[in-house]
Amino acid sequence: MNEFHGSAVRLRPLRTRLRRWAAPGALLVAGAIGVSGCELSVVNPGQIADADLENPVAIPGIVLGVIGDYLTGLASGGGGGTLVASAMLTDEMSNSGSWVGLLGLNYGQNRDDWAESNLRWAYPAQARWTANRAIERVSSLTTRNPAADPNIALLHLYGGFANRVLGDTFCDAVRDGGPREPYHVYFIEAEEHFTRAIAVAEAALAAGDSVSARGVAQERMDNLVIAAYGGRAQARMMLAGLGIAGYTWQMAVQDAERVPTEFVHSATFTNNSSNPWPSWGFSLTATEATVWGTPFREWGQDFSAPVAQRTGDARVVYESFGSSPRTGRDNRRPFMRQRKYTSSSSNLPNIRGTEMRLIEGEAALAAGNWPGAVQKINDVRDFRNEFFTAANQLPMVDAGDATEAWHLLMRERGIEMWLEGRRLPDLRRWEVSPGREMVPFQVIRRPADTPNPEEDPFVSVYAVEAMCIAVSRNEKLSNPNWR
Amino acid sequence: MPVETLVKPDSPWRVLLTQVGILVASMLVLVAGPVSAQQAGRVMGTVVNAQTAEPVSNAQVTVVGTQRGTLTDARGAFVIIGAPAGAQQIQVRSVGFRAVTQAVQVPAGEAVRVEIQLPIAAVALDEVVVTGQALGTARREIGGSIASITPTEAAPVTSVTQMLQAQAPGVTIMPGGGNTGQGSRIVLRGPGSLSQSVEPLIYVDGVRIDNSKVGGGAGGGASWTGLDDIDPADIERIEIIKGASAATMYGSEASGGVIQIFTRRGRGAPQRWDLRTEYGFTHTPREWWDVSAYSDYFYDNFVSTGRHRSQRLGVSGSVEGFSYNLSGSYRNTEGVLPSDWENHGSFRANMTFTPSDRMSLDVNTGYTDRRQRQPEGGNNSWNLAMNALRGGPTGTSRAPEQLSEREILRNSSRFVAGVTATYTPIRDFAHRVTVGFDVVNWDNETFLPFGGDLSTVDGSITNYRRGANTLNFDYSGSYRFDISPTLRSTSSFGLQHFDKAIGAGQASGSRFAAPGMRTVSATANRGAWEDRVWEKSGGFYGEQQIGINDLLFVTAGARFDGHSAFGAEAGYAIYPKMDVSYNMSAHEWFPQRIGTLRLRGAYGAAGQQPGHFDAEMTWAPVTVLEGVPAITPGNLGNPNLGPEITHELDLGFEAGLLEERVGIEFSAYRSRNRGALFNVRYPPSAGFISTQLENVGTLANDGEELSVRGALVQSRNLSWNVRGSYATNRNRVLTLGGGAPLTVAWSQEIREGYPAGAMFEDRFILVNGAAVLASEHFTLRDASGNPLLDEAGEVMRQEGWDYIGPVFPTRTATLSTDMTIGRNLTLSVLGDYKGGHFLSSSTSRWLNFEGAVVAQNEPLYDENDPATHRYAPGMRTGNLCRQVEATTAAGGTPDPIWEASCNSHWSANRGNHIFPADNARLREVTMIYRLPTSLSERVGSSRMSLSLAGRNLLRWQKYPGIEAEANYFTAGRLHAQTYFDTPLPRQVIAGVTVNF
Repeated sequence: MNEFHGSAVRLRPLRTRLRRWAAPGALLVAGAIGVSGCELSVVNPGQIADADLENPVAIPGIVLGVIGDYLTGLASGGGGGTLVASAMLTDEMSNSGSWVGLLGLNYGQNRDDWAESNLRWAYPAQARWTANRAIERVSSLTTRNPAADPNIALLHLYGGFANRVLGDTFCDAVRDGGPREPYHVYFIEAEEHFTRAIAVAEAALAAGDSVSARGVAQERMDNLVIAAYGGRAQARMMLAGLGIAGYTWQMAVQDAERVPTEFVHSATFTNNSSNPWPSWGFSLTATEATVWGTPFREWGQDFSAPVAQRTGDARVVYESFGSSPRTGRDNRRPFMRQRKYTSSSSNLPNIRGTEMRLIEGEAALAAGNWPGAVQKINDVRDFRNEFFTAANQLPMVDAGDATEAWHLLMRERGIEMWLEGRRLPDLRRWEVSPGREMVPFQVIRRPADTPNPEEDPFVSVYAVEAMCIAVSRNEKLSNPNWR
Repeated sequence: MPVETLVKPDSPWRVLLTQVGILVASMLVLVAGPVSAQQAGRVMGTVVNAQTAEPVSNAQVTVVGTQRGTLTDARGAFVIIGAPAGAQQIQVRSVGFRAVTQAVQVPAGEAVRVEIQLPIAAVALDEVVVTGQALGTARREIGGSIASITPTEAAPVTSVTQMLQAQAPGVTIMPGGGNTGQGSRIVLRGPGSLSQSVEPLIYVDGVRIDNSKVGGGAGGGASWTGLDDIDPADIERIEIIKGASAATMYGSEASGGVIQIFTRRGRGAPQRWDLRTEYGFTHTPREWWDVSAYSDYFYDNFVSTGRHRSQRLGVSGSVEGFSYNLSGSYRNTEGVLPSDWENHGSFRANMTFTPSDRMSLDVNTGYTDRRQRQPEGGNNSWNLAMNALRGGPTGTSRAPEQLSEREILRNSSRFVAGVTATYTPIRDFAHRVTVGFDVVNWDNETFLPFGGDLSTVDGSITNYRRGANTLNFDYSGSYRFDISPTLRSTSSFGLQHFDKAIGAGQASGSRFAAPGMRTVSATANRGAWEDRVWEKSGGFYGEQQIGINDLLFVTAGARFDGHSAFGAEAGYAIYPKMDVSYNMSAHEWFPQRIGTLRLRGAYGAAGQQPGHFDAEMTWAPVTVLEGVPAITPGNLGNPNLGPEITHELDLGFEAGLLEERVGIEFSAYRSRNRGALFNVRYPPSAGFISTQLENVGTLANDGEELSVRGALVQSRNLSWNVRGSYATNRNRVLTLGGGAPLTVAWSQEIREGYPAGAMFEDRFILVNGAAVLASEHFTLRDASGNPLLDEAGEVMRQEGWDYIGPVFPTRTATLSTDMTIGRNLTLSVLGDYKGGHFLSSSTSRWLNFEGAVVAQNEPLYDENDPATHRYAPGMRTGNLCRQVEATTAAGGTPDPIWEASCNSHWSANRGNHIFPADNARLREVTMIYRLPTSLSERVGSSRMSLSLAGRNLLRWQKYPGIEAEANYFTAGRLHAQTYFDTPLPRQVIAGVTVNF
């Protein structure tokens, strides 16, 4: 019920009421501001603020992060990173699964809009950027001379690897959100990084600094110099093979000769790292990729066969499961799993001295010296035989002409660096020189229209939309400079 | 995270709790005197339907101007103890009736008896709803859209989300699937965000609860809904604040609307016990699984009829100054697949202390324990249905018979406690303080034992644990006074503080040494991660309402919010509101024969805050090499990041016609989320590969909602009501502020000009009777027929060539009826329809892709047994392609699109496996028989009823997958994907309710 009547009477009680509640009202407003506006900051420990990295003590984490990003680019994203992608696109593996991102590659499709395509591109692209950003940041933070700092030498080495993998794999180059460029610019940038790595590491050695970073990431500078020469040889090989002006096979050979045959520099994987192993293609439990349907099945050795009956090259080992054959996840194709990598902590080589010999051999072929190329192949085999049992000894090879020598070298590179991410740049380079008609390899891609997988046809390894992986749709749509 | 870590000596929590404690204690001291000084009596009586003289149950009876009140029982009876002696006004409100206020003279220390007749009302203008004010507000005074749901007695409902389904226009429930306890997505008026939650805030008795749907551990991926922790039988009513225009006073995080649940309060004396026992079953017909050559094999070997058992016991009552409602329930439900069950136990204690007429203190507590085992599902190589329907007895990844070896267990406990003190020092000046805690703990486990057939690594275990502690502190005050005999002012003000801390961790390990081990510590290879998140928000608001008689109410207000997730430069968010309610039928000139008419309109804004790290540039910790710590780019950061703010205009009317026999409600809303948080993609080549939230988008949701209720027959022996509703929603992204389109899931993108998360994909379409790829048909060509290329070298196509459709329903409809024959038998039926949306079916795609054929060594195939010829080697696995082949073999003409699709590579026809998800259900059928009183009293019961109810008894769907309502990514905000989901099963439940 309304207790007030008439305006004059009405206003006085209203004022009285307002006075009565003025103090509580003020308290309320103060309380409101106090409770709701005063303290809303929180500390969430899950991430690291950018400003926290502006500190010299953060250098080891920054450096190791660059290595981690490189490993992630190699092995993670889209079903096993660039390593698995290159194996599925080339003739190293065939598809036996149902994951469209891998299956599509094996069928020769070059889609840029698959989720797998986005990740395959994003991680290696990030690895390159991270290395460059880290070089800038560590150069400003280090208490040493940046031109002789082992950590900076290491960052240049991985900056070189990251660029080399991008050039090996992708159809185009895009750097730092810039315009589309021909993919060979990655090799040029890699070559510059390796050159800088050599210079900084040698300066560090001269200054008495022989190791970088900490823990297992410690890299001996003398070792780093050899790896950088190896990486530069790989980059220069691509530049020379692709016919880029200013780069010659001789330059590649000069670098390769600095790397001993027994030298190996590897990407290190363990079960204790955030960088996943390329399991979808390589692990012993995944059934998405099979050696069946590839030339490596013929060249390699079946682990399921009795030891005495094993034939083929011991560098390519796979498992057919003998009398209990399995099918892949597609429930159709025979599943023959690789046994080169037998655990998820198997390391993946970045640089092999044996590849250096084969670079020298390819340089010889490019110069018309095919007997010299055959000699280099046999040098590799000689080296390998030192470690193989009598049953696995590799025979020496010979060629009747340049074409045969080319075929031998192409096969030898495939076998020697099987599943190491080297087959894709090889096929891209050979497409230019000596030309795809000189590449004889065939692989099974699409299935035949029958339930019998043995009727699936072998087709040329080049029966693909492009012998490279497309830059992702994400990059194209988000980069205003992409043209 | 344990609570102890939150209440540190120097923490703001401690300060806040101390302040609240002082406030509550002060109030108790203030009112302690008046308690003993009051002279009280009792008000007893019955409430009946004025038309039929039937008793009205659950009517709210209060002594006006006091905190005294109660609800009527099934016989319409009530008793209010402690009513102030003297002349009092008794007010009675009930859904479907007009409010009635009746004067009584309460004798001190004695009882007064009254009978109150409630006239029916087609429009619930007198219903009191909670809008954030301390004083209850009648619906006639507010311009926003608020739906009220009261539970249907004995309905076939086992979860709160089921209770919400098909109950109000604009409220869309999207289940994850048909496994027991599987969660649902709740969307009010379309998806309101491009990146943040599209679901409403949930309050239970004023306590904000965590409704996260995070899965955990490996395997299935099916998530559950925190809302379903609450026993639906505990709920007295639900209010749904649908849009931003009505949710302004809830501030940030409320742009998706608000659902307020009110649990049962203590009823009047005498004490009453309620016992309900239910038995039932769940079942899926064979044809609901018929998608594959192996459907019969799967159905015969793995699909069964599950059991449902439930018991609930409750007691409520009151003595002077104290009322209570205690209940406990236990439910066991088995699903239709192996290893699919849920045990759900809950206990609730609600108490109301009314120490004086000025004050009441509500203490509400609830505890829930859920234990669940899930079958393998989702996009997962262990998915039982996927292996069996694709590969038969050998499976595609694993033999189906072996899959139950891996156990997926989900356990959760939730404790919700709230204290609400309402203090009215003088009439029409009320204060309400609520302090609420919600503590949720999850303990999820995926376990593969040592030595099993599948134990290739000697077993493994993953244990995911998550604890979420939330505290909300709300104060609201309202002051109402009459400026003049015709003008009334209501001022409201308040503040809120919200604090949420989540700690989650997962440990996993593989390789046990021996059988019998079941801890991560017992494994040889172990890994772990931990995540902690803390967020706080605070806000205050003011609102002023001017009412002119009962004719016109105009309200204006604003809320100011701060949030820990806002960027450093973002400052406070301001949410304004204004609404108008015009009760046209209150005019004297309004023809009474027409009935009731109210026009209303509301404008308001509400927000949605970004994630806790989104404003900061961050780097993420990783381990590299042999466990060495390192960093990798995390989040790009944006110091100007603020909440997205949805502005909504809502216009509507409510009309009661034909002597209140027909009620019509209509709303038309237009909402714009300006500054919508959109995950802007920056070039991965520039280093940060995660997207960055920016306030750049604009998202629109427009729609209409119509509901009609009709009381066809209202007589003493027959009551027959019919209700129907129809709602539309048009959702589209108006701009992304220059941001690139974003892929949110397979074939789902956020693009300007299209619905959020819509389906885009190439597919075969019919052109002049022939199937051609859309990408070919819509390619722009030059005069020579060569494709035109853009400057990036991409083939140019007609705009929208790959657009298929939205993923949220664009139209929903419900139709229900209930009939009461005599006093004893009630039959109610509810059906609903959702349509206009699309669902991506990996079920169909994986069954019908070019390589999906019956294996050569299929063990089910017997050349000499024609019954097994569907398993003939080489036969297409999926029904769609097998049908094409069968039609072709029979000399017929198969569907050209499916013929082309079945004979093409599956990356080309992906869009053909995105289907319209239109579906209709016979959602609920309930029959209740109330035993005559004479009969029930023989067994010592005051009331006894038998019920038989069914859910999802019939379904119709265009979708050729397994279940058009399923959605594997319940936790995903915009996802519409299925992977061999489980149909929503038929549920048939028989129950007995006994009241003592």
